[in-house]
Amino acid sequence: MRRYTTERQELLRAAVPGTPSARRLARLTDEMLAELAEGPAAVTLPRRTRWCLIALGGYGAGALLPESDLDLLIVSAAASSTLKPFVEVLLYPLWDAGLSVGHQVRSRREQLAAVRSDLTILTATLTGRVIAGDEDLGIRLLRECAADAASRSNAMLTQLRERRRTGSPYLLEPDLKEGAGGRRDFDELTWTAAVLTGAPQSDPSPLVSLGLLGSEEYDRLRRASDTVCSARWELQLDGAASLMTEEAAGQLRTDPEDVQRAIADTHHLLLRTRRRTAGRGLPDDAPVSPRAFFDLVGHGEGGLSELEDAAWAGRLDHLVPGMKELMTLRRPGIAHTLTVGAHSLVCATTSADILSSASQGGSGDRILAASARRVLDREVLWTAALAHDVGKAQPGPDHPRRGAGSARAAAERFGLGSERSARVGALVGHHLLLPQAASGIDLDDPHAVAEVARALEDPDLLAPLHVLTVADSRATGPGAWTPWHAALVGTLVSRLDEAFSTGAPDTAMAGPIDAARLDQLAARLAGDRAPGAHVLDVSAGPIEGTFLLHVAAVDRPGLLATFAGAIALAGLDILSARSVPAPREVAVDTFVVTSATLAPVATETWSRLERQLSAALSGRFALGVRLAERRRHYAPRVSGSPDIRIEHEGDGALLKVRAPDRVGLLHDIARAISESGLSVRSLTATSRAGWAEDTFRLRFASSNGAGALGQLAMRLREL
Amino acid sequence: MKKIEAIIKPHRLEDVKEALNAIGVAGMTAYEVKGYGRQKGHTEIYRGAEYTVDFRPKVKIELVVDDDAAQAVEDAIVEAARTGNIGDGKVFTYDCAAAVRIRTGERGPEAL
Repeated sequence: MRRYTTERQELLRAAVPGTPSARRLARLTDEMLAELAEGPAAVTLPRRTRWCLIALGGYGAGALLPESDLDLLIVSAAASSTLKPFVEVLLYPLWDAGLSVGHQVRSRREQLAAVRSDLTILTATLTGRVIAGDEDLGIRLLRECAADAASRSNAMLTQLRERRRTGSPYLLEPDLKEGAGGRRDFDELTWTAAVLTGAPQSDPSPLVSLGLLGSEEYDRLRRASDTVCSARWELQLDGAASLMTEEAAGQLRTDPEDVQRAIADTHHLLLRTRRRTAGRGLPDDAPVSPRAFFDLVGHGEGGLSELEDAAWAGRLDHLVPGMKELMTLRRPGIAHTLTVGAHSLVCATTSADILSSASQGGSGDRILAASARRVLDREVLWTAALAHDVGKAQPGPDHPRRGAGSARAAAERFGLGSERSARVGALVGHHLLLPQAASGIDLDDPHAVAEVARALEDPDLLAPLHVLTVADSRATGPGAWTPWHAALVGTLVSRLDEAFSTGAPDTAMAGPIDAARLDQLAARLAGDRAPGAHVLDVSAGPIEGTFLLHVAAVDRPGLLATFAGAIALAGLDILSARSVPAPREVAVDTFVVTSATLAPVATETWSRLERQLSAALSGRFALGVRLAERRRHYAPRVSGSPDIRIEHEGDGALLKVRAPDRVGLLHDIARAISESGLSVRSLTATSRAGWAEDTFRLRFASSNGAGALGQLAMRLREL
Repeated sequence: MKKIEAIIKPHRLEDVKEALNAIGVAGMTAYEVKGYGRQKGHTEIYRGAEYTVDFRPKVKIELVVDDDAAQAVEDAIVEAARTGNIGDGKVFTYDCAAAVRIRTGERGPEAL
């Protein structure tokens, strides 16, 4: 025993952490136990007593870590009074040496009954190995146990597949023994091999010939198991348990990201093998299409496992380059619990869960639910959620700014087109704006709130950004989002909204359309591509005597001008207008209108508007000429010279017009825009005390942006 | 010894921390809390709908200082936390009967 202790200490001091050392330690321990059992212990037994000593569990599989239990089974049919001295002589020296020993003394019959009734005893026995005594007795028993499990293989495999696994291989502080991807997952594959072959096994290699594991997969599994073994060896030498804490990870010789990769590989290989043993098909190995990605995200948390599998297999890399790398990228921060990629996937599915919970009435944070109902474009939100932390691929502060460009490029790969992709970029670039501002500014100070509104620029980003912020925080970890944060961010959101709607309550601003309404209108249009096809939806406006119009049609150049012109011709004054980039191909513009004359608005007004919209959309109606005629009869209420500002920004421009309002003004501006080769990305227009104030965000329709802006300036001078 | 508690607006925490550092106060405890005073809860109007927020998010800080330092600490907190707007918060000062540093067993002002 003394020799064993010395050699063991020497091994622990000098060994390179890893599987070879774990095997050496197991062999050393085998020799010691065999000497002890067959020498002094066996002497205590009557002659011809049949007995054997079996190593169980991980030790049975031939590897022992510094702090592992020696899991031992003593098999004999002798009476317990006969066996007592044997057991004492065997175990006392082990206890005295400070080893932790788990021991069971059973007859063959008792052991067979035990493995039938207890899964843990069975699995420990499936990797059993005889180390001393009557080898025939031991080997026969181990085979009988495995054969018994094989005779119930369906039930056994189901029990193994339903084994509770905790955590995720993407946790920054993973449990390398019991956690997902840890040692137990490798063990489960070994047990599966034993059940299917009806023989004890020390590793999952038989699964290869059974066609349940590819040989390349098995090689990966072995490498992963070696890495986990090295890390666990080091953790145990440092006195830590199997949890790779942040502090412990910093001290490992093994690269923590290698450990993360190893457990991710083990986890996914286990899940795949489980699917195979259950006779279920594997996920397609082809890259995930944008449509399939959105479908999975739409399932919320339920889609997470498949998304993780796809990301880990590199099947999202064609959409977000480097996604596989991100899955094991560690960027620990306060309250962060997951690797960057896994956090991003959880953020995407959480954002989907927030949207569905809001559409089902929701509970809890009502301001969040209101934002969720106003998310017009789920695909933009989900793409932003997936790509929000791509900037973390490089270390350093300000990852939102670094990631905005890559996120936008990713959105283009998703096929979202340049406008929607720009919104994805903007959401990613601003994804820390709300939480930082909520605790960084005085929410009661309108100037400070206005500063944040200016930084965000686009009012239509507010609702999706709110949902993204909450999803991001919830996906970070349990401490990152509390009712305290929710109240702070919710207050900021409502005040930003107020700051964006700068008008006084009497300005009859058209609020943003909500997602349900948008879907409804798009569905009513049902892709009708007839030239005059449109949907006109009229409801009461925000103040008395006003009406809220939603007009939808298949998107095309000059659409806004047509809508605005037809409305003006119907004898209606546009008090405010909003145009937002709509998903898919339907454009929906929102107008708040009132009668332009003393005549009340009647049913006839709407049928005239319907007729004129159809005619104008099919090009059967010279809107410009008719508006000019009408203008001669209705003079503007105020006079003054228009103030026009055009600022070039990115692939478009910001156009601000302040001008005396008159019949068809919005139509004329919108037409000048489309005729100059530009399209309207978004619009906020108001008319107050005879003055129109319109802000357009424009996008170049052709590569000659400067030329288009020159043309636009010229045309606007003629207003 | 005095125990000083202050309820402040969340965004003033960093300023208060710096102000206390500047007068040599070594440590404090901060909590994220919710509450209301004369300001009551408030109603947020978001997209036309009203949402009642009963409690406002605040930060509560606590620290224990020597008697001589209490006034300066109070002043520093008030100075750093004030925005002039409603809801700036309050500072409370109490007598503190005992303090023990657990690691060393030191008692009284030595333990601070």
